[in-house]
Amino acid sequence: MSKKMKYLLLLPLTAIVSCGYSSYYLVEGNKYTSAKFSENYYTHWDNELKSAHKKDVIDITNEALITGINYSYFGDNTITGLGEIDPNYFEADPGLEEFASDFKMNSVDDSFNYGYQSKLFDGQMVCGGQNGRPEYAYQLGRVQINRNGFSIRFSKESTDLHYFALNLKASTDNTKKCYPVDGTSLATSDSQLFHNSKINLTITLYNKTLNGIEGYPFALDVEFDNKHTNDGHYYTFIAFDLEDYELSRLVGVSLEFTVLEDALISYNEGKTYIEGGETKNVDITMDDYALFLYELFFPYTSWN
Amino acid sequence: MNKLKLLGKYSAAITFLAFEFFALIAFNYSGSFVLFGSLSLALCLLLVLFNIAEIKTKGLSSVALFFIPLFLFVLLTAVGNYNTVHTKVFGHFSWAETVFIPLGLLAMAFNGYLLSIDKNFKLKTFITVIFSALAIYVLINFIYNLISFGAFYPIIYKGYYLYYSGIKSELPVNEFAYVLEGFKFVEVKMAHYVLFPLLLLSSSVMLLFTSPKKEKGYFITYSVFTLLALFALAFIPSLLSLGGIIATALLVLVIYLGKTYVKTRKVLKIILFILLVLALLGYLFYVIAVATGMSNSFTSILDRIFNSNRYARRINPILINLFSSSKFLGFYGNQVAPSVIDEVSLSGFFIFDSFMTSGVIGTFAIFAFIFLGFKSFKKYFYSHKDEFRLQATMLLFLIVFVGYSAFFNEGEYTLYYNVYKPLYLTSPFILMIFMLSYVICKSRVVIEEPKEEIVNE
Repeated sequence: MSKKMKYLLLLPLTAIVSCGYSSYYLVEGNKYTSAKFSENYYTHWDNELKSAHKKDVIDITNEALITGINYSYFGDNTITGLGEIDPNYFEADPGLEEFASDFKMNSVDDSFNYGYQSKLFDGQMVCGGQNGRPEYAYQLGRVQINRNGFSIRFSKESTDLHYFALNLKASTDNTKKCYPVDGTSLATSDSQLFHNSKINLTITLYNKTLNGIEGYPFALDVEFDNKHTNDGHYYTFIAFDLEDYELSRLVGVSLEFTVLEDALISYNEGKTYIEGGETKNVDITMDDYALFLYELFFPYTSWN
Repeated sequence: MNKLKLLGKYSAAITFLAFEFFALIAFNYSGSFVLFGSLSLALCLLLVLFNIAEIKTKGLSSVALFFIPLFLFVLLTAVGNYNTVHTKVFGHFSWAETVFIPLGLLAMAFNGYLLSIDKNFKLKTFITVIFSALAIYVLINFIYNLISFGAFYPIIYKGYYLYYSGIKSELPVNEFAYVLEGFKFVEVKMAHYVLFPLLLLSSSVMLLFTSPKKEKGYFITYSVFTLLALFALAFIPSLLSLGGIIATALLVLVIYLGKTYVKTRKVLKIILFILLVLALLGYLFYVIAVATGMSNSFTSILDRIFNSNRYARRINPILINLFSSSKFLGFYGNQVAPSVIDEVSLSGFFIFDSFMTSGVIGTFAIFAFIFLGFKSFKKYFYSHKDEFRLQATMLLFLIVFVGYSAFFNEGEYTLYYNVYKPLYLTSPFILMIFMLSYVICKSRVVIEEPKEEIVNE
């Protein structure tokens, strides 16, 4: 066999033995779409990001967090109508959808369209039965995470980095029996359950350097005031400036959080209820505290 | 030298150009009918222009009757609502589809006639060209699928789903594959992926009638085609590919036995005739039973066959009310518009989808044309105008395409984009039109020997 033929044969052989890069994006059956709340946590961690060296935590609660956020902050003065602004967050309104459509990651490159994490890059800022497909009412928008956090390894690498933005809400497993805050009987509807809570959110951005991948953890306290779990309107939007940091070659991001306080869970601690003549403990705990993430942005960032 | 003769000087170059056009079509370049149709039209114009002297002497009238069914089919398809509402070959200019699609298809049929009388056209080259192009397309798709998910992924990742733009794929990964469309690989239903390697596999019949010693290069080429097709089907396994390989192997065997043993030929003819009659009766009974509502009263097994299975649920909406005045001709109206709740989608069975896209008359017209084409093969075989192995390869290509598409033609084949591409807009269909037309003409048109011309210097 000539050398040329051997090389030619190598091509399909390489393909045959390759494990398949897209298989990374495959999700088994009903994973993340289960009716059982606890089965829908996205907890994927990229090995390289998990073992990456991390710098000291940068607290941005009172410093870099964009307060009084408006689009002009992102360099566009023409878009307005963001609604009432809170010091650290604001509630979503139609203006956010416009923002999403301008800055969604999947419009940057098709590679952001693949995988379960693509829910964070598709410009879908809220949940709801959009496009006449009610079966996606809640699954379409959100990525549900718990305190173990998760990471995303990008298939692209940024060449510069300007801002970070994230839309999220707090949540708990509403199928579990519990009392509404100050209530004396078990909650009978979702509207009775809302969160007055505070979390410490750590967003780690992974930068590629000559020494390998380095993590830059940004930590901030986020408060949720009277936020309903099961409602299409209460979202928290966080954004901060990255230009003061030595970050340019972004290759991934991870999110973790600790729950500092939650009125609903605290109120239910040690409480009991009677069912069928039997006294049972309320089963809601801090382990049932979840974040619903809707969209993640790096506005004005260039990717190679 | 007169002008006609001068033009004729270039006819060899035009024939060469024809091979290039066929290569692009067989490569399914962009999957674009606009391209296929344009190439067909351009080729037709060039062939007419540069072979005009030839055309005058060959009896087009002797075969014109055979093209009436095709004419009827393209006409009814073009004006049918599915075409004008849905296909969107030219975006929103539905009039362009109404004009361009029939012209493209008829031009390809006319090319069949023109090249059947073209002395420069070599069937051997044509067959090699289309299978080479098809092989490249199959190889690209095959490698991309292996790189994407790895070998045997339909088995390894059975029941896994892909998320694209936040949306879970409608089908699990074992039911789809990637194919090249334009400059992008898109997720398509498995039936669409399997079609191309299966068509390539039909070239395997060539191996039985080619001597590996006398024509080493030719034999190796077709061995590579066959192996590639088998790999592309076996490494991305599915029931369709397994069934396809078995059916194609049986057909190759039938052709071999039919050619080698005269007695077997007679037995095969009888078996084939019985099978065809049974299939036709079954088909007609199914259509009539569903269309007239007779199937509603069926119970137990009959109900399961006619109503209560996933295939029937896709087919029956097309057949119900079929004989109402407008739908009879293919005017399914806005029912095919995606925004309407009672949407009727293509079923994936050409033999039923055609009712929606071309109407009852259009459907039976294309059936008639295909039948006439296949029937012409007998005469074509005995005419000895081309080598048997080439004729047999073309026949197998056509049988595989028609047989497979009749049951597994996914007109809406992509997972994430709205693509409405009924069979008549696909590249193999255009090749089929050419081949059938070529066979009909080649078997019937009597070519006069060119007379020596006395040139006065």
